Amino acid sequence: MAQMKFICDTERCIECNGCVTACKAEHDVPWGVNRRRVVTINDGEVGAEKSISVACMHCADAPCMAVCPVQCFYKTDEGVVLHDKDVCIGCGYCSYACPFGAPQFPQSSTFGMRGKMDKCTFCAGGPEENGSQAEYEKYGRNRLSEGKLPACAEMCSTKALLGGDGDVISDIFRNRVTMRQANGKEAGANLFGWGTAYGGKPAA
Amino acid sequence: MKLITLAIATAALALAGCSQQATGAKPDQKSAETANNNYVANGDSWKSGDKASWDKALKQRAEGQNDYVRSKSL
Amino acid sequence: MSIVKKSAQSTRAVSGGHLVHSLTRAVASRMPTLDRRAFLRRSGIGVGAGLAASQLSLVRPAMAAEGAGKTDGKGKVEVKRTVCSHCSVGCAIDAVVENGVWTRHEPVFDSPINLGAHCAKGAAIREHGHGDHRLRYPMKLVNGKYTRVSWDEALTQITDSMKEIQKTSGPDSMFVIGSSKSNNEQGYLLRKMMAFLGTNNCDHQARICHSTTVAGVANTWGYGAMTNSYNDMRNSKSALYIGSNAAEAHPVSLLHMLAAKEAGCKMIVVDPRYTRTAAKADQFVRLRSGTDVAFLFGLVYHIFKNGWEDKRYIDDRVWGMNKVKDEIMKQWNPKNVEEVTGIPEAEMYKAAHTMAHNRPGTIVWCMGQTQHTIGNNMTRASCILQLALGNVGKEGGGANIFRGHDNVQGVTDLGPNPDSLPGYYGLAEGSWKHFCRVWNVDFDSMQARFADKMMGAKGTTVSRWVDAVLENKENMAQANPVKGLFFWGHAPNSQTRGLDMKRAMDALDLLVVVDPYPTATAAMAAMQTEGKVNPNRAVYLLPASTQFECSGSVTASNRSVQWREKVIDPLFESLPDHVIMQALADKLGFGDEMSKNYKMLETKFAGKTWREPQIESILDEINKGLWTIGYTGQSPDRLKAHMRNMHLFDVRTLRATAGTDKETGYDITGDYFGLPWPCWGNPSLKHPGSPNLYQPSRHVMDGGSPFRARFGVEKDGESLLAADGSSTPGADIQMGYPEFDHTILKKLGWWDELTAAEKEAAEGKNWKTDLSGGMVRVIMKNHGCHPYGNARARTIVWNFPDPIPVHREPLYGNRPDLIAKYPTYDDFKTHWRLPTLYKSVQDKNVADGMAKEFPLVMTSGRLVEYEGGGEETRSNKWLAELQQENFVEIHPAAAAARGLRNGETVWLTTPTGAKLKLQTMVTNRVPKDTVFVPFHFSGWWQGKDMVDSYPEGTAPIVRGEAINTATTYGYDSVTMMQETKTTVCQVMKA
Repeated sequence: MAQMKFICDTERCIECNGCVTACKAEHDVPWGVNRRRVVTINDGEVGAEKSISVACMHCADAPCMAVCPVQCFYKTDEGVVLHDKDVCIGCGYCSYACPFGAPQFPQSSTFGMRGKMDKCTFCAGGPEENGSQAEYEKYGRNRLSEGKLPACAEMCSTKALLGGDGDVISDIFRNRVTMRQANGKEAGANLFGWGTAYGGKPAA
Repeated sequence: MKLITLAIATAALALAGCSQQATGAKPDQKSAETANNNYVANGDSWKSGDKASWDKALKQRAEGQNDYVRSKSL
Repeated sequence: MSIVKKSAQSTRAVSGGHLVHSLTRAVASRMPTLDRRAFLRRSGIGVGAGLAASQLSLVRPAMAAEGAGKTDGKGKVEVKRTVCSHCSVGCAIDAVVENGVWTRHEPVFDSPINLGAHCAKGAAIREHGHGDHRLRYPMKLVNGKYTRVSWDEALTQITDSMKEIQKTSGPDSMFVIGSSKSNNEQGYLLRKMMAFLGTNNCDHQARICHSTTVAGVANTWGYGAMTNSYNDMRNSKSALYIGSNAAEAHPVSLLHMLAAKEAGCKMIVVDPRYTRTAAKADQFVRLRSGTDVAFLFGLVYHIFKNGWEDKRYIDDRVWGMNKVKDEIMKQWNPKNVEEVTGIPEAEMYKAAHTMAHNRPGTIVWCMGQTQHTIGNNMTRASCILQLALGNVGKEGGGANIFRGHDNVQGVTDLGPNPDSLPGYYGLAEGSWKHFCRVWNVDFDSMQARFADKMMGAKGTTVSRWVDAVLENKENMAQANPVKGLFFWGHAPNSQTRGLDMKRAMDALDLLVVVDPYPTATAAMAAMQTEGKVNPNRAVYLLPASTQFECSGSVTASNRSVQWREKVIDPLFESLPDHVIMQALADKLGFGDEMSKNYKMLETKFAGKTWREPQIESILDEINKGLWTIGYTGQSPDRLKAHMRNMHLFDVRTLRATAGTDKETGYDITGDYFGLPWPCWGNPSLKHPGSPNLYQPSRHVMDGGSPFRARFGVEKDGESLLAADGSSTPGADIQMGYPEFDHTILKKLGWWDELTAAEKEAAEGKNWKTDLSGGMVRVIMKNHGCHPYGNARARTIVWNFPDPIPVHREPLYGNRPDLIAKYPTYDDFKTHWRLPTLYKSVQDKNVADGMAKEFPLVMTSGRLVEYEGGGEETRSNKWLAELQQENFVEIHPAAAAARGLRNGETVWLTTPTGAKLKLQTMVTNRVPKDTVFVPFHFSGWWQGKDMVDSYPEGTAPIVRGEAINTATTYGYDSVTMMQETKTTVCQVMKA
């Protein structure tokens, strides 16, 4: 059974923010909520600058799910981590637990007045009828049930951000790493911690 | 006392029998069930609710993220 | 990172200013490597407060436009295929429309150009369906405020004023700044309208973008366009980027480049700044701003010294290389190169070695090369490098010039240029007669519209429109200064000398903005400053539709022509450009004449019916007239068939090997995507287009071509035609030959292969003026030859101020020692109708000790989130959130010397006297003596927010200082390009 994953190929990511606005536009995400962001390390440092696009990683053992006091999270058959906004109480625990900063809140004020948590859904919507207006208004589009993959990955300017069945996208990524190794370029396999995240033998 | 212990043990067992941690979220449709709108892509290449054909359709779609496929010289 | 930020924010009240900065500093101290976007107020507390969502429902439903249907996904859904309207890569977009509302955007994986990919701007394109900050209806400036007027009122008053101005001051007192964002048909129609207006005073963004490229490159080998394509770069073994930040300006082009890199391509990036493009380079070379000629010739020095040049290629196809070699070997030794550029010999040698040993190699340049007083020298030096290496006319090679706006290539090819009719025909009488034939109008009556002797005189430029208004008439090569001006789809803050521009805007009698947005022009015109305003000045704003509200063709940088379908009806009371042109022409009395060849439609816009020239019929007219560059084969039908069948085109070669269009039965086999010009002959000749220019390894009917014979057959006793044996395969003439005309055809005995009708049209004509296309057909199809001849590229352009390119210091520089060695030009008494200063400015700067007062070199450039002047993209909430403040990048040493820390507010001052309020971004990205400011901002004027000067509700979400408010005088010696890439400034704590 397909398990949905994201991989961001840091050798191709140019911090164009295409993934960021693709997500914004697809789900009409309001100002102040960043489901996806691009992080750049060593900004402006010659030979060291690298960028990576980050959103919810739909972890196999999701810390957000583990800490939620009202259990509003659930995992789909494909491993996508979703949640029910009607159950969410806006406590913010998931936000503290997540190592990637995925959970977002529309308000920033005292504890308990954060509003409903919002995050990347892997374009799989939420617990409403697939593709309905209600689902769109609460969670954004449900591309998976439309036979599509996440907008961010499908629109990435250099196809750095890959999103889909873990096996398929690992293949795509592995081919590139192999090409780069064969041609004396920086392979770019390790920055992401691929081996750690997905198990298996990491590329050299 | 024994009865209470037994009751507790049974309750614990019953809870452990749940497939994953108990979730308060409402039940959700499977992603493989076709969206109820007119935005569905390649809707005839998979059957609504049929995981295998939907998986296959998405695998095919993922090749759109692989520029090596189309850039091989013909 | 976000966890830290959130906990900080959740315990404090929301406010902007100092608090946010202390928070960001707190975050920054924990995370020393915050990137430039993260450090600024990204969460939008200050700016976006009004846009925050309500508590419960986080996701806003798509707001259906007034009068449009429901958009719950159950309505009628259509997919309109269009092309992004931002940059010249030409990314295709499938715009999904439900009941007339643009609800979704799907990637077009089938497109051979972008394969579905987008940058931030392209991915945010759907915002054009909302247009919250659009100009909604015509407006007039009344007592300092913009008030609504009706279309009829506005058009009547504007045309009355135009007639008055032209009657009292002459036709040349009107100037129309046109747009690189109109489609081809609209651009062409504007040029035609200018002819009927009786003046050549029209221009567009290409002037300030790649004008030096077009002039330099065209004068080297025939055409001034990108020779290969973004796709073809997959075939490159090496790539030299000089003055191009493609990662931010042409992000999707890196899809192809990075794939090439994975396959082994060596990427060299040369720039004063370590840009995001440089971050992907195999070798980064830091170059002193403005010293490209020294760098390029420094490479050629090593190439000649080591015998790496392609001798056979030079013998066959190049003229003048020996003289150029002598000059380079004498002047550009490693010592001189290092003195001028700051680059040590080892790095120069390494780059030259890489290019020489990894062929074919390509060169990419953009504004970093073009925007200088010696821009034409720089572009020609790039050409010379590639000619020396034998890289031009090869797959994977070429001069890949990345154009800017989505249709700057098309509008350069056929739009409002002051020095040419459409198709680079120029302004000679023969060319006017050609177009009068194409337009079916009488030549004498056309000539009578112009002031005496002005029909053949090239107009003045957008880079100098300010001086065309303010200069004394005795110094101008036209009767009177400019009194009436249109800013038609063009920003003001992309031109230099903003302080002078404000004075010019205040001096005009008539100022008209035609744009989907009010633009900074509206704010600049309305804002009150100390200067006096012409009491007779009238300012109008006319709402134009975007390229998603009409259809038409658009030419990408690689010369491929794509067709856009209309996505939605025009929003609010906007009209498409060509409808506005027709309405103006009708009121001015030449509407019928101008559009006599077009099918006229009666279309409903803004609540009434308007005359609309049908777009397809305008393209038909273009196809009939533009023989010079082969815009003749790209018929509407062929282009539409290509857009429907994108999946048939190969990504590496852009060619369709087989396939038929289901809708029309058109056989696509063999076509190159978008029929990249030149696409020769009538559509029935079925020429496939030319993916790579000057590629002699292909038959001419297969997209191949030699260099163009444009400069004569002989010079200084040497032939300018190609050597014996150097020709395209299957050509009946296997040596160099001049361009064709009827006499040559007759001499060769090919004349009788023309039909009777063709003979009648072609009699007395040449390949560019034969409207039947018969000559082209016979020459290419029957004899495999090229109508424009088979010549050599010339490395010496004898009619330019510097026949062999030289280095000259910029007018405003911080190295007076080098100015003495490499001084600028003598002043020009008349250059594009205006006196243009060089030496007097540079000398005065040295005498005044300018370098001491303004010790920092100031350069400007792009950000990926915004485009051009920026008012359109800064009004897009999804983009605006990502880049909320203008800033100045400054090196840690320069910052320390001024007591500046990251995120401090500073004043940036320049010799113009302007002062700009900016935030510092302290970074190693820039060298010690150079600062960088993005140019996309406007809406602030020397420390003051101009929000109140915009029409109500239209001010862009993000506003900032425009760097061009403060930039200085300086213009290219051939094209009047502005010197924006290198000037001087000082930065101090505010």
